[in-house]
Amino acid sequence: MNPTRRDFLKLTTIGGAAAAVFGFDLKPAYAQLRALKIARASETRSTCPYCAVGCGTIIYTIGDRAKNVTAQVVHVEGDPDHPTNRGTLCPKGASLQQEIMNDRRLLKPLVRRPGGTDWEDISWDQALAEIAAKVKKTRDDTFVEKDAAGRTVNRLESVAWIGGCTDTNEFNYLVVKSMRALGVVHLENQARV
Amino acid sequence: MTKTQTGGAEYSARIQRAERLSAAHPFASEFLNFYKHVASFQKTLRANLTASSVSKSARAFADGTRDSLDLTVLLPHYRGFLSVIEQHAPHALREAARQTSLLGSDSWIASLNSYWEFAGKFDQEVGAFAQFLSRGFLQPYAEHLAADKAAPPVVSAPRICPICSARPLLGVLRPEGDGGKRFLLCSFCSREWEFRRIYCSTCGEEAEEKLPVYVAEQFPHVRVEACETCKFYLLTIDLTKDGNAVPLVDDLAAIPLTLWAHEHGYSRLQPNLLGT
Repeated sequence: MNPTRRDFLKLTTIGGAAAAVFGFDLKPAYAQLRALKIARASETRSTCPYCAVGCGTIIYTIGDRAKNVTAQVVHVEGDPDHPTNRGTLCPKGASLQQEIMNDRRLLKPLVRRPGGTDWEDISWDQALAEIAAKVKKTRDDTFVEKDAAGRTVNRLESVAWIGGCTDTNEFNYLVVKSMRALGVVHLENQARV
Repeated sequence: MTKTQTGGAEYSARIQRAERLSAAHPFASEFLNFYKHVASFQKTLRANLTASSVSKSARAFADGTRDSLDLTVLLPHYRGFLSVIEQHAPHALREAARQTSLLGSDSWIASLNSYWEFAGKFDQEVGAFAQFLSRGFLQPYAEHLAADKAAPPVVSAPRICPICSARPLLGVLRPEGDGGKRFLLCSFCSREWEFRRIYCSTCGEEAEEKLPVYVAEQFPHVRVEACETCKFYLLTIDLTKDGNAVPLVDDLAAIPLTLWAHEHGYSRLQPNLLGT
């Protein structure tokens, strides 16, 4: 009655084969198999973008990776393996899915002109050009080359920079280099993780 | 002596869960009804082992390795186990148990010793019937030895049991914060150890896009955690979705998912007791 070792090795490559060898009836299970509705999810590790704690998260995305299917974020939960939060999230972090899947999320730059009451669409090129012009004008107008005692300081006190907790090391390196080149002294990041 | 010390509570939970799932899932009722009889025998055997104070100080699982098997207490119960299988198993397994019971105790000792050496490591090489009979009988003993043994400190993510060095049977997600922390359940001594998420327990793959998780609407708390690199999968019972689940039993009830995984080219590293 015992199958040979070779038979058994072949059989174990087929699900439930050993059970069939034992004499169990697999027909009902196969019938149920045809009725299964299976969804494929991907789990992705990420970091909560909100505060300076920098909690680890796991983002669940549903989608079979077919090219004509847009993956949907269906759930975000705390990463149980993350040493900072060990699976927990605050109420704000726990609502991350609603930030990602939100029809009110901004997908393009907007501008509200001085004295204006409404936001207007603006292209990325125009937005960057206007920001650069304002930074240059502010710097030209307010740059402090020497302090009251006549010492050379080369600083720009009228511009400040604040970064967020999802900024990477590489991004922050570039921020410090470019801000210091302008003379910015008010340079801060909400996260020190 | 409390039920916890004899393992009685664990076995009672398994039997009750098998009864409940058998009613809810007719397609798995043959498996679960048979399993109830096996678990009832295991419950009695475990209680006997505790009552006879089989020494746990034996170096049976010292440093994750196995010493020789002490059959003095176990062997008198083997005929009883075989008769349970003869009474309740499907025909082929029943016949295997009947033929085994005709063999002498020398043959039993040889087969039990042989399985003890490879249990949970090379089960596929043992043969389906020899594996079932030895595994079903020795498992309460392995659980008894492992019950009070302190697990060594976890310094990495071990892919085999830190107590008895068998392969994992299942993953278990237990509530941690607002999420689920993953543990692996040993296929032999039933101990659990921590294992990080999004990390293949077979090959160590950690690229997120290669580790899909499949969940069926009909079994929301059972996950097929597959790996596209090694093509193995780990069935994981999510206790954050169903706190009443008993992983060993819910695995048996989820046989359609096992069949589905195999149809889609994924293999299981270690089959469960009933070979699914």
